Amino acid sequence: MSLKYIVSSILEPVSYLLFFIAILIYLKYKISSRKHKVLVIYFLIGFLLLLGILWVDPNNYLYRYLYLLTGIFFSIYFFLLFESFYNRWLTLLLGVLTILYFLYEQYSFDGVQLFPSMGYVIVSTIIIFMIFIYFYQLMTHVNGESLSLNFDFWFICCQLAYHLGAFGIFLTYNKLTEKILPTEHFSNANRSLMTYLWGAHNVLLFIASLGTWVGVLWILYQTKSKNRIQTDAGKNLF
Amino acid sequence: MNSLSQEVTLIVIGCGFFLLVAIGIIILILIYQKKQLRFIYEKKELQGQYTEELLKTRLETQEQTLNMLSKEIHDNIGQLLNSAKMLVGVAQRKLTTPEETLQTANETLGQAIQELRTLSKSLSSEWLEQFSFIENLNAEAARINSSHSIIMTVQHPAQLTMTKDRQLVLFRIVQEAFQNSLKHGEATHIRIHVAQHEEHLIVQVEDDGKGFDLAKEGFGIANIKHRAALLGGTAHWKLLTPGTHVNLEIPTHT
Repeated sequence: MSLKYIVSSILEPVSYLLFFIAILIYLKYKISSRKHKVLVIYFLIGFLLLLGILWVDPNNYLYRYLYLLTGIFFSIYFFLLFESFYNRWLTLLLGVLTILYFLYEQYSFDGVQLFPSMGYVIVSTIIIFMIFIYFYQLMTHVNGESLSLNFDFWFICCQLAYHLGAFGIFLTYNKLTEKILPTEHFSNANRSLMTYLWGAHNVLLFIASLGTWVGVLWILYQTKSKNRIQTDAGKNLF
Repeated sequence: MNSLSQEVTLIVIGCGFFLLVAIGIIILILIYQKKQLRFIYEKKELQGQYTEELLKTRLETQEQTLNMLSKEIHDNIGQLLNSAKMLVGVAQRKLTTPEETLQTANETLGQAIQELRTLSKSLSSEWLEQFSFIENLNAEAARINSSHSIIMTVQHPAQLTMTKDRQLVLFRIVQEAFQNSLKHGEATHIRIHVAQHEEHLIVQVEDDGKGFDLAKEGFGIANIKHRAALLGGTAHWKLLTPGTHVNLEIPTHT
C-alpha cells in the first residue's frame, strides 16, 4: 500500500472515523446534547459510505450521497446550534437546497458520472455562511465562558478550515476531470495529478479531524483539572 | 510543466491561501472574544468594588447611628435611672421602716441600669480595639436569658482567629439573626453554635419559632446577606418544623 494510495483514498474514511470517535468521546464525558448526537450519526454514516467508495468503482455517484448527507445533517446541527429563530429557519435552506440540487442531479443525469462539484460547492458555501452566522452569534453573546472550552467552536473552526481550504478543489475538480477525459489527455501523469489534488483535499479533512481531537482532549483535560481543584478544595473544607 | 499541472499547483496554492484566511478569521474571533471577556471581567470587578464601597458606607452609617444610640442610653437614660435609684435610696434611708416595695423598686432600678449598660455596650463599637465576638455573644445571651421567658444557649470556641473589625460585623449579623427569631419568629429557645475551622468560621443560629416566608426578603435577610458578603462569606436559611436555621459561613481572613 503506497503513501499515495493512503493519502488519496484511505485518509478520507480515516478522517471521518477520527471525527466520529472524537465526538463520541466528548459525548461520553460531557453532557450529551442532541446536536452532537446528530454529528455522531453523520460521521458514522459518512464513514461507512466512504468505506463503500473505497471498494466500489466507479464511485463518483456515492459522493452525491455524501454531499446530500452533509447538507442534511449540517442543516440539523446548525438548526440546533443557533439561538435566533430567524437563523434557525435559515439553516433549513441548506438542507432544502441540497436536497433540491441532489434531485435535480439525479433526474437530469446524462452521460459519464463525474465528481459532483456543484453539489459540494453549494453545501460548502452554505456551511461557510452558517459558520459566519455562528461566529456572529458568538461575538454578540459573550457569556464569560472561554471559547477554548466550547466544543462547537473547535468543531466549527475545523470545519471552516476544511470547507474554505477545500473550496477550490470542490469548485474545479469536475472541470479538471472533464478536461483530462478525452483520450489524448488521459495519461497516467494527468491521472496522478488529479489523485494528488484529491489527496490535498483529504489532508485538509485529516487536519480538521485532528483539530477536533485536540479540542476534545483539551476540553476534557481542562474539565478534569478544574474538577480536581474543586475536589481538593472540598477536602480542605471538611 | 503542462497546463493541468499548473492549474493543480494554482488550486493547491489557492487552498493554502484560503486555509490561512480561515486561520486568520479564527484568530480574530479569539482575540475579539478575549477582549470582550476582559471587558466583562473589569466591569464585574468595578461593580463589585462599587457594591462593596456602598455596603461599607451603609454599615459605617449604621454603626454611627448605633454608637449615637448607645451614647444616648448611657449618658441620658442611664443617668436618669441612676438619679432615680439614688433618690429611692435616699428615701429608703429617711424612712425608719422602709416599705418592701421601695426595696424592690430600688433593686429593679439597679437591674434596669445594669441591663442598659449591657445594651449600650452591645450597641457601641467605640471600644473596637477590645471588641470580642465571644464576650459580646455571651453578654447578649445573659441579657436575653435574664428575662426568663427565652432561653438562649451558646456554644463557641475559646477565641476566634479573626480581626476585631470582622468580629464586629459578624456580631452584628448574629445579632440581626437572633433578633429576627425573637421579633418575627416568636421563639422561646435559641441555639447559637460557633465552629472555628482552619480557614473559615461556621455560625449556626437555630430557633423553635414559627419561622417566616423565605421568599420574602424582609426581616433583615438582605442586611445579613450584605454583611456576610462584605466578609466574603455566605448566609443560608432553612425552615425547620418548627423554627428557622441560619447557617453562616465566613472566611477568617479576607
